[in-house]
Amino acid sequence: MNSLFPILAIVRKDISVWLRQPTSIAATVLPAIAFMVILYFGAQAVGRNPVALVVQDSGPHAQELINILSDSGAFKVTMITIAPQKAEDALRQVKVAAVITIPSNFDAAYNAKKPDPVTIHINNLNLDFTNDLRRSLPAAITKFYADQSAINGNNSPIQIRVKETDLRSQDIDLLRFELVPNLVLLLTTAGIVNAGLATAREWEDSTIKELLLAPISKATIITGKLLSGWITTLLIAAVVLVVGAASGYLRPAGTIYWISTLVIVLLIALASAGLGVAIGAASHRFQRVTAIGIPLSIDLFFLSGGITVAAFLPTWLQTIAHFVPTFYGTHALQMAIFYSSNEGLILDLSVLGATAILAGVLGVLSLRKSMLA
Amino acid sequence: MLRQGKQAQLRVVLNNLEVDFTNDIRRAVPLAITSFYANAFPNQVVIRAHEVDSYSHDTGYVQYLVVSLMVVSVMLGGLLQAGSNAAREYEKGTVKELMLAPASLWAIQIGKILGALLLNSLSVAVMIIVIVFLIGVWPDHWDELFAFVLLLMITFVALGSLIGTLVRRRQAVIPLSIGLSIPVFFISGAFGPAIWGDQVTATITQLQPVYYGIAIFQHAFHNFTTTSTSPAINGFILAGFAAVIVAISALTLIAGRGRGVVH
Repeated sequence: MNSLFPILAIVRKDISVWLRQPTSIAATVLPAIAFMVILYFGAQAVGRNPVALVVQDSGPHAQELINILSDSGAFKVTMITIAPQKAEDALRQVKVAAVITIPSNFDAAYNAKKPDPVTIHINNLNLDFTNDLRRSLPAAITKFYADQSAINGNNSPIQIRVKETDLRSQDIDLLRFELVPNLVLLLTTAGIVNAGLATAREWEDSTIKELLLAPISKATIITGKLLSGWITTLLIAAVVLVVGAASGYLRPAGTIYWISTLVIVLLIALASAGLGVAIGAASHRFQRVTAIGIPLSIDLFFLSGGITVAAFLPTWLQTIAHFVPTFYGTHALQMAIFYSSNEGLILDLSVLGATAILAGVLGVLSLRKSMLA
Repeated sequence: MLRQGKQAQLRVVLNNLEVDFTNDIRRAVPLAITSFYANAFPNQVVIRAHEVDSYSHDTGYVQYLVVSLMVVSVMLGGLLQAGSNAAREYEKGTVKELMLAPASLWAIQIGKILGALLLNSLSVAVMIIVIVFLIGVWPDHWDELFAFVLLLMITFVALGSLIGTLVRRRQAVIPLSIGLSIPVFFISGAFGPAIWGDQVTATITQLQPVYYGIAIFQHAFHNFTTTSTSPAINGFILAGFAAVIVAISALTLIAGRGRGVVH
């Protein structure tokens, strides 16, 4: 009980210093809000490349293919023209990603069962976009034949039917999926940088002397420092979670998944704050904290599936990712928020719990060693 | 079954974790089916996709992305280095000595920018070595690479200096730099041409230098055009950004000469 008040005083002091600097708060919280806004706009366009259609045949089959391409989830048809040059100009000026040309003899060749090529001119800048386009036109052609089958009975020449079974109840769009690793990135950055700076500040401003001369134990100082770093990180997490839940982008379905989400966030924040205190106490300098903390957070972000699905990474990278604690945090949050699933939750929580304890111990040892030195 | 005219069912079990990967599979299966028919029953499935590519070879996702990452690294490095240096002058009170020195404030600010530029050039050199020799992305235009990497460094070092002069605290400079760099990276066409995305983002992104930086570097490395404007125009726009930011940075120092030290 005697230690409680000094601990709370240290927490209050650190948070007050943090709160007295509106630029620091804004700079820490605004990226999360900026991310949300950017991802919201970005989500409108992902996976739908703009294409131009050059239609040189007005026959019914050509019209049918145009309708399929226009309704396709893979394309965003931004131009329909009969002038090939106009479409090629748009391609050259990077206004469209591809030009699809339906030739003048399309219907005639189809009816005569002669080779009937539909040309796609792709701006093959990178494989991600290019492969999307490559796959999308055959998908539209398959749909065209399937529709012929529906119109003419079972007369479609394509007799292979795809029966899809999904393992998850819903599809999650890419940018929404990436919100979770971004949240984890924010937690690790905020924890490591804020707790690290709050600790290093005591040495830079020489206030560590006053703390050491105060009639309180070293354990009290250490606990206060860890707690203030943890609370600061949780304040940032709270903003992200509230905005995420309000917008529907990060909203766990049901109380049980809200609880698991909060426990995971608490553990990641604690581990980050512990690590931040350890780095701050060991380095004693602002610049060293950021030089170590920021690249570390970004590396953890990439290794935990920051820009892709970790499960689809190359095997050697997956092996490395399995030794990264944020990988488990990201996985657990994605399962709880998107799929209402407890898949792997015990393992995820065990790893995060162990990491939080380890980081806390590391923070304690580092701070203790620095105070004794 | 197919030769007898009977229907065959192809069962596909999908781990639909997220829609981008899932749709890749959804579209790849019809592609495989039509390719199969094109070979096995060429007279039945007559409509084919005939592909023509704008570039002679495909560029991998990593090879494309690494160039965009280089631009944002130059930005982050410049902001952090110059911003911390400028803020440190206020935190330590040494800004008073600078102000009282018998030199113009323009000279002081340009000197600080040059200092940060030299320090920043070390990390940029390492980054270029990694991209070229380790990842194996060989630039098509070395002259463009060196000219514009310098221009980009000047732009972001000046911007960092401006931020440091304005906020005067390293603790604020660091999250601000990161907070600025990451969203800007995402909206500037890091993964593909920004103008293929939604119109709001595509319009906003054209108001900041990273958009033009990525376009110029994609041209320098891969000979790609990723913006409606030509590489030469992009270069002029980037030079304009650099000049304006350097001027604002110096003017801010002059305007803030009476503000003193941070306690």
